Amino acid sequence: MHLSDDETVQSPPAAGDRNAEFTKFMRKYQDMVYSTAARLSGSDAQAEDISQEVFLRAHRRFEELRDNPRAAGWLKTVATNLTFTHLTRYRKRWVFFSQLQPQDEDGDAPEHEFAAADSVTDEVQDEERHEFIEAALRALPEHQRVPLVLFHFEEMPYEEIASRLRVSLPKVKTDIHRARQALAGILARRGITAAQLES
Amino acid sequence: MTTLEQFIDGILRKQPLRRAPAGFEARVLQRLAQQAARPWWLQGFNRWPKAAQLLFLPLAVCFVPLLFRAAGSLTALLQSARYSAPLDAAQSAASTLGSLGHAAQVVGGLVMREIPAVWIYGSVGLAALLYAALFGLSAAAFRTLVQTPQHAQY
Repeated sequence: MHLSDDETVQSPPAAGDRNAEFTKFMRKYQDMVYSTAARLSGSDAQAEDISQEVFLRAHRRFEELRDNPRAAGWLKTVATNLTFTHLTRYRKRWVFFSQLQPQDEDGDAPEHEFAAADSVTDEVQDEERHEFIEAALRALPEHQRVPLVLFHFEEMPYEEIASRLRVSLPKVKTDIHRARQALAGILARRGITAAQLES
Repeated sequence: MTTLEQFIDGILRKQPLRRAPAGFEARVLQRLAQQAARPWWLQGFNRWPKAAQLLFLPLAVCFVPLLFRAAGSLTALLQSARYSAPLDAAQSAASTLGSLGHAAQVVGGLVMREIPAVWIYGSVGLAALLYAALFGLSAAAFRTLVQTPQHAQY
């Protein structure tokens, strides 16, 4: 077997280099993975656990993922699947606790009041608005938030959402429509309207 | 696209990514370090070295006859000790253990001698197959009865 004189090129990366590369990889994608998990689960604590598990799995397949242009897609898929697993696992517990919260008869989101702080600059206003929208998303019931997030953030078509969630297509459409209505209602109370968005 | 859909789509698409918590990176690296510090035999089977994975199955199959042989040797050892030394409490306990070992050896020997090896391995295979079938049926029942859309909130 012929070995190259230039061993630095041929030899596999040392553990330290691999860790440094993985850290770089993690920095690049951690916000994306965390956002997916947080928006789907509606829980920051769960999102952190899920994101950690995603990166532990990514570390096992790092050789395949490190230079792969489809790494982001892989990470998103794993984050989505793990969030579904979490949601299924904690469903009964969630249902129990959700029954303690007041809801409309059809399971629509309860009326939430979000703090409206005085803003100094446009940048602060934008940041506040983003936080407000995230809070409004979290306030939606799970059966509305999950398909809404899959449709608008993950760009998943209705059919695929219905298949992934194992519910009928009309139910997905109804839930997403109600989620939009609920979200628009919450935003309108804050003064965020289509006209303001365009401006 | 309806106006409502356009409005919500416009709002949500402008949302920046959520920032991962400050200590997240350190937490993952710490967990990876913990995992790496564990010896390979305490890690999942799929993370064992290939050689160990390949050796595991034949070793596991060979383990049963070796166990019977070990039980036989232990019985013989304990019986010889029983005749060469005065009886005391410890020896009595050892004798009991020896009897158990002897019984195991007799049963094991009987099984290995009287029942053809093909039948034994066939039975083990059948048991594994039935176990897998039961597992599959349970999984299918769980998916059908528990995760149906009627019951699921997602």
